[in-house]
Amino acid sequence: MRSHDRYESLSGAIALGEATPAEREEFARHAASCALCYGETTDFGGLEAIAAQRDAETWRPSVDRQVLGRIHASQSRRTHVTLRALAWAAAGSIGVNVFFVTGFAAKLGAAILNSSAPPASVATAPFVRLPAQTFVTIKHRVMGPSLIAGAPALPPKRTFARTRPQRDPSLADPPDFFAGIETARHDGAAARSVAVELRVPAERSR
Amino acid sequence: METVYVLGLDRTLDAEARVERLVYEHQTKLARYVRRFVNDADLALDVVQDVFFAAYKMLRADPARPLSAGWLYKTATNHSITYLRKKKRRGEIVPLEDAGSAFRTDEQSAMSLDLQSALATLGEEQLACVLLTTYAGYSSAEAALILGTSADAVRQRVCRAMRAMRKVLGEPA
Repeated sequence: MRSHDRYESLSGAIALGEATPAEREEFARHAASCALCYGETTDFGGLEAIAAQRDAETWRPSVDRQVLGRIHASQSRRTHVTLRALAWAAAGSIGVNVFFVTGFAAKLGAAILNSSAPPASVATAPFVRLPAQTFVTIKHRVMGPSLIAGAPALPPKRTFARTRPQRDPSLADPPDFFAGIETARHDGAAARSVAVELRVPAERSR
Repeated sequence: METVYVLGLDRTLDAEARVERLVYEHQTKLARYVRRFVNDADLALDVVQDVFFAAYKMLRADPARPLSAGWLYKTATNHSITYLRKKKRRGEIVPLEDAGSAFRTDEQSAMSLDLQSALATLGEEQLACVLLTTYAGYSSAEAALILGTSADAVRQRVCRAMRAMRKVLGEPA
């Protein structure tokens, strides 16, 4: 602390009424010979006025309703967020369970593995000539083991609405993968070609 | 001088009830203090709401945390200083009529305006020291704890603030 800082501290203590008699005496001795500190023992530069205003204050604001309102809004927002998070967690959990418990994950994994292997047989449906602007729905259905463990396998879908692609006769009956085309004709349509291809993984073609 | 409410140790109350108690105990004094600080009654109410809401969030996160009135003043002071600094950066000038607005409800004398003008010349730290000690009624040691400094520093700032205010108040109108 610089030497004059000490007297500034004493001056502040005197103004705040915290100085001891010895400190007051020390400051008075210094102030008598210091132009900057002279008169500071009696003139407190408005501090008394501030204290007086505090005592005369009549403003009585109230913020309790606003604060409690914010707290309640925050609580309901938190509840809402929590419920939404729980709902998402539950939905995610159900999805994961369905994915793994039903064996779909295993099937998907096998399909991915199989897709990397070269197909043993490829059944290519012939080009089907269809009118232009034909509404074409391609249905792809995985046959074989049921998606739901323990449930009977679904019967193969052999017929389709209008068109049925040719199958490779060497494929097992029913084939593991089956695809078909359903067409719907629109009036005034011109012809167009649609190709359909069936790909059967090697170990499923038997 | 300061009544310390160790609300966090009262485990029978939840965060909301504790804050409710804090609000009822301190809202008026805290709002008056902040109003002197920022020189704007509406802003003071906003700052006080923010302070109590911050207290609620803190108690919700840590229910066992003791919370004193000093914490409220510290947070309110920090909020007020932030506001004043932003205002300075934007270069806003408070017109003289508004300078006295903080006193409008209780006194509108020329002296109040002069005093508010004098307070407006102080830096934020000096203002905090003056208001915490002379207006909020804290000792220099308590104010030092609130402001995170030493009691000597608080006294020095009060002394320098006094000198600055004396200059303004001594000038002829």
